[in-house]
Amino acid sequence: MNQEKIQPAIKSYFFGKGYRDLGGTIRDSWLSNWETAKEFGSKFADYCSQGEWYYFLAAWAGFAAFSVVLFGTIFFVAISAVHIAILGTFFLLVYLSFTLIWGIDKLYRVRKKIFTACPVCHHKSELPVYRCRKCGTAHTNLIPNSYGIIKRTCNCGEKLPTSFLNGRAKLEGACPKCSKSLGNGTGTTPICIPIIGGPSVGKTCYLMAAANGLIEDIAPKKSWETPFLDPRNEDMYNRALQDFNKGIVPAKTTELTPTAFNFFIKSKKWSPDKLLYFYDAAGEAFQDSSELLTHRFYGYLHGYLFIIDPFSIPELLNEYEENLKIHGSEIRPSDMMLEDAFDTMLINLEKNHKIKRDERIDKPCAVVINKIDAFDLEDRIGHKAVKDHMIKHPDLKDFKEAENQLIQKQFKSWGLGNFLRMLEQKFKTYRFYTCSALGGIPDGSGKKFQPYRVEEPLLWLLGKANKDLRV
Amino acid sequence: MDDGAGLIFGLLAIAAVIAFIVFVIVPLLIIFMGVGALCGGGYAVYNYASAFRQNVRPERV
Repeated sequence: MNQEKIQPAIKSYFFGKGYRDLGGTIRDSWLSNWETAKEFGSKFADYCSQGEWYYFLAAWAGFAAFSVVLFGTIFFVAISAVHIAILGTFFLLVYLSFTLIWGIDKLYRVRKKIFTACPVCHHKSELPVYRCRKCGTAHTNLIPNSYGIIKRTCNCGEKLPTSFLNGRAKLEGACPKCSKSLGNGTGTTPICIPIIGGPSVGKTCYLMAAANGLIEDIAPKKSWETPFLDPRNEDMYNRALQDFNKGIVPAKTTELTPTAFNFFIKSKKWSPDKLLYFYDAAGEAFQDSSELLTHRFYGYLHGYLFIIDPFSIPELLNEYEENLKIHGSEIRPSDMMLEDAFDTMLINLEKNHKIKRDERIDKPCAVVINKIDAFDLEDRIGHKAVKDHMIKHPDLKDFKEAENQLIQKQFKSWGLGNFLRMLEQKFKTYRFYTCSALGGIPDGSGKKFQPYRVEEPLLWLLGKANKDLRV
Repeated sequence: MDDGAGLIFGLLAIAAVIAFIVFVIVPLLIIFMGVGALCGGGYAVYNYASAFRQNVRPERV
């Protein structure tokens, strides 16, 4: 409220012109009184100089000058006081209502966790820049303030709403830093989830498969609507689906600094809408923490989705060496150790996002083991293996608990004890998941991909990020 | 006798002065003040109204 910048709008009467008018009226009225008194004074002098026949007129003029000075001043003070009192009372009411609306608007934004995240430069701002509907001029601080309480008048004459109460979110917003248009996605609750993992772990396939599961399967059941914010994201999604239907693996991501893939989740049960942001950077970005410097979304994300290619684990790579000789080109094992990608992410958090070395992050982390369809992995760490594990350990009643325990046990046996320790040290909440983003080894037969269990980790993170999204 | 007459004349003169003040000067003053207040106040009100009309105008876009 204090950092009010000059806006391309007309100041509200009650904050600018109201004071100027009051000051001007008092000043001009005083000067007029003085002029009137001087006029009578000069008439008095004139009559006096014209001889005794004019003494009566001189007495009248002198008396009038005296009256204007004495009574005029008394009346001037009284009228000014009444004017100040009336305006003051009115201004006070206006200020009170302004503060009330400003407070409601602020409270609403804080309570609904509304902020603006630029999908391109990833700058986070409390409010976007709003553009005037008529002339397109940028308004950087469109809140109830001295430019207007309910509405503000743009310099072009267009009236713009100043709070969520009267439709500010319907205006076109833009990023205050890079000016990228944010369309109508500004008054929403953003939920930001980066997809983390080295090259070829299947991040893009996972994202498209999970988004598809959410949009096509979960959303209709929950009566959610899931329109895209950016038509380019919709095109990308549709192209990926077409590829999936033809059994073609989507092209490798090359962007080291990703543009967010986002879509809304709308429901009659809540307001405002949720806007999901997924960040799918090329795996090469996780080779060096300096590459993550531009990933500003780590400063405001809601959960971590860490994708693991099981064949990036040296123990498993050796174990399946013979099988990989046959299917290696289709499976494309990631050549980056999962601990390295995880380390790079942690270094980035410590270096650029003020996470202390000994601090535990309170955002959830879903560790997703992809490519579970390959060979016999399903029997070793998949759901079938979990059920067997529960039979062997009858004390384990919860499937998720059993799955976590089994995967951790397997990870230890595959020499990933250090990774598990780091995970435990850095995250308060984490869970292991297994899935297949393609549903099978892509053999080039043109058979449609059938991803499975891809939605589970995403739904867990979404539910943790926002209680409305608990499924 | 002389003293008594002097006292009476003195008292009568004082009474006359007081009566003159009360019945002539004070009403005249009140009339003058009233006329003055009407005149001076009228000018003040007129001047204030003119200044208000001149200053309080809607800003044109």
